[in-house]
Amino acid sequence: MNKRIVSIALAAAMTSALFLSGCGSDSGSTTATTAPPPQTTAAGKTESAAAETTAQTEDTQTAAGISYPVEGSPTISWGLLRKSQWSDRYDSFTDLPLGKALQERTGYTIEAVHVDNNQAMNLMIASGDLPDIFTYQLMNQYNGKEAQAVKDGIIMGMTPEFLQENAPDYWAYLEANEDVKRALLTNDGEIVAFAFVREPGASRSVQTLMVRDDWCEELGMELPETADEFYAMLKGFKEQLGVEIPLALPIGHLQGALNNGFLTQPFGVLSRDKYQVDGKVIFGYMQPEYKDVLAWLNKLYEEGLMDPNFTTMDNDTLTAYMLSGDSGATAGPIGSMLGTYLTTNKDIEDYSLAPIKPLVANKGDRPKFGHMQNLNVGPNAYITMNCKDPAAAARFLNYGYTDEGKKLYNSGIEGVTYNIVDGQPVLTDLVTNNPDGLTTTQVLAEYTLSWDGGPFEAKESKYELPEQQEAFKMNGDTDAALYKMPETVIADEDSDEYARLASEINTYRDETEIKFIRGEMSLDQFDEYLATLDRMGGSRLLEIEQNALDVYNSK
Amino acid sequence: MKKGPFLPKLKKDLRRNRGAYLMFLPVLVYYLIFCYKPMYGVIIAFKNFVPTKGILASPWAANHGLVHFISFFKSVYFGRLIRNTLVISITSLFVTFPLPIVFALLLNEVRSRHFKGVVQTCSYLPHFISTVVVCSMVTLFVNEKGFITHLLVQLGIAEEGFSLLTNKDFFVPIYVLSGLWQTLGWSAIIYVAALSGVDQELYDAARIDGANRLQQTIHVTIPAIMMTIIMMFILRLGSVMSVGSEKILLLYNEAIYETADVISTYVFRKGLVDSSWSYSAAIGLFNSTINLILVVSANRISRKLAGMSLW
Repeated sequence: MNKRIVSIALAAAMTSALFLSGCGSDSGSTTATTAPPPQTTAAGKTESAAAETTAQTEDTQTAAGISYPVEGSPTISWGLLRKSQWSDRYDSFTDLPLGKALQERTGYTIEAVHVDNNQAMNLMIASGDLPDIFTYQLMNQYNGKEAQAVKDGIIMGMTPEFLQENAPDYWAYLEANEDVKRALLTNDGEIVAFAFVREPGASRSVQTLMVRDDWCEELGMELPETADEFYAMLKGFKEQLGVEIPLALPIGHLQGALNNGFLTQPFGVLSRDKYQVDGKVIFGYMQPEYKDVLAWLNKLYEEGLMDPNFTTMDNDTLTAYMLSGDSGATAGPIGSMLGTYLTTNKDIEDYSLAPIKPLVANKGDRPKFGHMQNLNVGPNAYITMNCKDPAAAARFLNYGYTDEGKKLYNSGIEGVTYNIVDGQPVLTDLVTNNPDGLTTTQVLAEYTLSWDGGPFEAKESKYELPEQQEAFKMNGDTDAALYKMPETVIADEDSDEYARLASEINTYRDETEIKFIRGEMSLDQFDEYLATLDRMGGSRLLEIEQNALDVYNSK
Repeated sequence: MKKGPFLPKLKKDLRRNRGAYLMFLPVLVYYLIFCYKPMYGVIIAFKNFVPTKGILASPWAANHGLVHFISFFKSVYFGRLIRNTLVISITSLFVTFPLPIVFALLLNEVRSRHFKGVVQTCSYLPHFISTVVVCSMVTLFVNEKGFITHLLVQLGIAEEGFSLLTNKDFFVPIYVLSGLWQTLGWSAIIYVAALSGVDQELYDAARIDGANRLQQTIHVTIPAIMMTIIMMFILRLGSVMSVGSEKILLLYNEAIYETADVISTYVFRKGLVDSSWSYSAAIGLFNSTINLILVVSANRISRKLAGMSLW
């Protein structure tokens, strides 16, 4: 009897264990989505404000002929990522002031379909169970990019006639901006997306190197321009000012800085990533000169000028280092890093940060390369093949390219988030000095898409602080446009091979690079590294890229 | 068991053990839905899977559908992935398999029921902490300012100022020992249960023959639970090639891929990050095939050597 009870109990325990583990293995894709109820104060305020503005703008006839709000109150389902910038305060995009205003102004009822992260979005795409439209960065997340997604029947390729008829404002923009249009065109002549586009002529450089200029002054140094000066500055921070980790660059930021050419140009490589010189593709990390870049980084590492734990450092640690004075130099976005650091520490007297240009070989040289976003950087909006009424979806997405829509997506609601001063929108105190203590990005995330991207024409970023404006100007002032790889489309027959090669080679490169920097591999082995890259199919990868560039240039 | 036609026998058995079958039902449903039905999807390993076309309509892959397998075997990571998977898994097996048995034996010797209860409850508490939380704790303990790092620095084993997770030599110990902490008590439950079923008369007989405590353990207790041990061992062998991805994904970083990247994490990166569905399905299928071979051969060997087996 006793035995039987034990075995039954055991069976029950094992069964429940099975179920537990079954649940556990699924939990990765649906992590912690329970958000607290939205803050009613903020939302309530906006509702009335939104209603007011809609009253003013009712029946706005756009130049090309669609009038919003549209007739017949259509419904549209929209797949979106749930963003941390608002997910702690709101459950759904449609609860945001932006979602509400958008529904009122366009006349569409939005059904938001939220996923939590890129992997969840990839799974949704793989399941084939897609909403009418979704916003995402397929160009980075889908094998063979958007053109392949059209071929695979996931998103709709849109003919010029379709766009002319259903999205006249978007079409007008594309007509006027030939290079953007070219980046969105498949080889069959179809447009793949309602893209996140910029005002003509807007700068695309939003990342920078930044250093503590007050410390430089203390050391009697000018802001560094060359690798040697940069090294001397870090050395000074460490030895004379006792700074623990002069250069704080977590692996992601380090790779970003190398890809943007911030640290590679003194050594004759424009970028670690691919770039083009006179129509020829070059992979920076496959160049013999890249050895010198790694040798320099290895020197910084060995001398303790760089964080020994750069491979595990997270963003919170980075922020703490930069704010507390444990570190004096880093690289990253002008908005969320340079801006945030300066704003957070604005009351601290002896704290100052300055952007510097990408490092160059000789003092006074003009940088050849720097940060420059792709024309088609996304997130873009796509009409899926599941969409029952693509024309209605296109009319909805067209809104972001009308004057009204541009204002809403860029600056939010007039009288609430911005006022027009001298013909220019100026953000209100609600945004810049929020009474509830929200950061500018958090407030903008409730009212606009400007902080992220989406189906609209973005105004040039207007940074608040003089340091940010300076950073913006100096990083845009490079020859990157000449050398930057355009958005090429990998040929259909090559796309599988390309995806496999690129992913394996990139993993090998990333790992080996870390070993060189940390001195686990001697730089004498650099030739072996190059030989391995070649054995892994490096030259084939180059060939595929070159073909794609040739096709692009002839398009 | 009497021989006879299967169905009538089953019917009779169903009637007799209604309760047990009822309890078995959810397990059956679980396996049908989550283990058998998805097997049909394995076909995508031989195809170039396109989500919108579905599993059947996607085109077959090149080389008689084997191209994904071939490219995995040719991949530079093939050797490393197999090696890491085996190293992590076999080390885990040698540490986390015998210790729960020892632990159960020790518990069995404890005479104070109260003390035994407290120890057992404490030992299986970690099992109920989510892997994500365990990994964040581990990460904190072994980062450059963590107490374990501090301890190892004092002992001269680790270098000061470095997170242990950036050193490829520390990954396997960290993984295995944290796993031991997590599973020790929980894995011991089954042995504790088996031990409570051992006939007390056997001990009395052994004592009369003059066996001391240790001899009783060796000659009575262990043979009594041998069947359970072998069963658990065969089950464990079946998963030697499958090291779970969750914990490694939460702990590893690019600097230690060399010892930390295993087949399941590679499948995860290929499938969910790079969206190479078919390729990652092929690797997963290859992995499962090896697991199947292992479990079948372990069963055979055990039947030959010990006369005991799962089937």
